[in-house]
Amino acid sequence: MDHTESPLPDRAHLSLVSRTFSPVMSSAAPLLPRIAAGDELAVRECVERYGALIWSLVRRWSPDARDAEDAVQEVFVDLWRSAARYEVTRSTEAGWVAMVTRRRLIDRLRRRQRAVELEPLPDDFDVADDTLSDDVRDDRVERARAALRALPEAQRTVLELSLLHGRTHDEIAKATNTPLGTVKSHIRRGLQRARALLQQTDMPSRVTGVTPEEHDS
Amino acid sequence: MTTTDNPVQNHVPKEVPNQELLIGELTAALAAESMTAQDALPAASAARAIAAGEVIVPLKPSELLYTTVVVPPPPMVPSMSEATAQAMRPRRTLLAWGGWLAAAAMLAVWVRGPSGVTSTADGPPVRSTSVAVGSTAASLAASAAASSVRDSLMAVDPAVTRIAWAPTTDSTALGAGGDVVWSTRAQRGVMRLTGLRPNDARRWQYQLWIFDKARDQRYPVDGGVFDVPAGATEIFVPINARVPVGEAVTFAVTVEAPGGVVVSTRERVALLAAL
Repeated sequence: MDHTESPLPDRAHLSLVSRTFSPVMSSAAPLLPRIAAGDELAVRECVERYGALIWSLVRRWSPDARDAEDAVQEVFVDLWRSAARYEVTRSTEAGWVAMVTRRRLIDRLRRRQRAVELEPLPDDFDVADDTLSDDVRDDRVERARAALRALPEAQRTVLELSLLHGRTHDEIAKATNTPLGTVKSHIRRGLQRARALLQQTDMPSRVTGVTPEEHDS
Repeated sequence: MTTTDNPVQNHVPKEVPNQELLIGELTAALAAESMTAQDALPAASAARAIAAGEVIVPLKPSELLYTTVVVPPPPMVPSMSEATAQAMRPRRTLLAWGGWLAAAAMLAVWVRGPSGVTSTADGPPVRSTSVAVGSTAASLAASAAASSVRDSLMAVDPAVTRIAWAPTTDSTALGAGGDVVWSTRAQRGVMRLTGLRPNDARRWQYQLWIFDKARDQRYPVDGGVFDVPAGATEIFVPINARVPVGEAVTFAVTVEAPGGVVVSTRERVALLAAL
C-alpha cells in the first residue's frame, strides 16, 4: 500500500482541486462532548466523520505505510482521551481534530529527529480572543477555506506544504526554490492574513491588521 | 500491531492556545479542499480506532490518568524441534507448577461437574456466537482490532489482569503460549495466542471458558468459539463474555465440535491461564 507522498507535490498539484471526496465535517452536531460523557456509540460516528480528515493528514506526514498506521491509532487515542477538553465555543470540531492530529504528528516527527523547524508560528504572532458564538462556529471551516483562497498563491503554497504536508521550512525552501527567510515570511504573513480574514467574517468591526504590503506579497 | 516503545502521553494540554486552534481550523480547511477518495481511512485502521475507542470511552477518559503503555514485543515462536525439546525438558518451577496445579484442580472440579449447562448458574442457557479468526483479510483486521483493544485495556485500566497461558499436554498446545488480558471494569478482554495448532473449523474449534470466583466453579462463563488459521504465528482474539464476570480467576481453552458446545464434553483442554 503506497499511500504516502514522498516527493514534494508541485505547485500545480497544490492548487485547489475539485473535491471528489467530501465527508461531512463541520455542520453536524459535535461528537466529542458525547464521547467525553462516555457515550460509546459516538466512537464509530467519530471515526466515520473524521477518519478521512485524519488520514489525509497522517498519510501526507508519514514516511511509510507502517508509520501512518501507527500514527493514526495514536491520533485516535489522543482524541478519545482529550475529548473532554474540546470546547464548542472556541473552535469547530474539525479544527480541533486537525489540531490534535497535528500535535501528534509533530511529536512523531520530533521522535524521528527529522524536523528542524516544526512550528510555523512566529513567537510574536498576535492572537486575539477567538471565542466563537454558535452561529459563526458551524461554518468556520468553510470560511477558513474562503480565507485560504483569498491568500496570494505564494503564501497559500507554503502554508499547504507546512500545514497539510508537514514539510519543514528548509524542505519548503528547497522544494520551491525560495530563500528560507522568504518562506518564513510567507508563512507568517499567510497565517496573519488568514486569521484576519477569519476574524473579519466573524466580527466585521474587528481591525484585521493586514497591511497593503501583505496583500502584495 | 499498536506496540508503543515509549509512554503514550496526552498531547492535548488543558488550555489549548488560540493560535493552535487557528492552525487547526486552517489545516482542516486545507485538508477538506484537497481530499480525494484516497483519503478514506482504511477499513483496518478504522476498525482498530473504533476498538480502542470502545474500550477507552466508556471508562470516562476525562477521569483517567494518562498512563504508560508498555507492550512488549511478541515472543518468538519456537520452532517445532525447539518446542518438542522444551516439552520434554523439565522446565517448570515449583511455583509455576503450583499455579498450574491449582488451575488444574479447579478445572478438575469443573470437568467432574454435572453435565449441566455452562455459562450461568442462575440464568438460562447461554450459547456463544463464534469469534472466528480466519485467514481472510477481514479476519486479519479483526485480529488487529483485538490487538488494539488489548493495548487500550492495558493503557487505561490499571487493574487489568494479564496472565500467561500454560499449555497442557494436548497435542494442539505443543509449544503454544501467549497471554490473556482481562478488564473486569470494561468487561472485555483479549487472548494473545502463539503457536497454538491451527484448526479445521469444519471438524473442530477452540472454545474459551472463564472461571468467575463469584460463581460456582462448575459453571464457567462461555467466552466464545474461535479459530486459529493456518500459518498464523500470533493471533489476537477478543473475549466478549456473554454474562458479567465478577472476578475472573482462570481461563481455559478447550477443543470442541464445530460451533462450540453448550455442554462441554470436557475431554480436551489446550490452554490454561490461572491467577
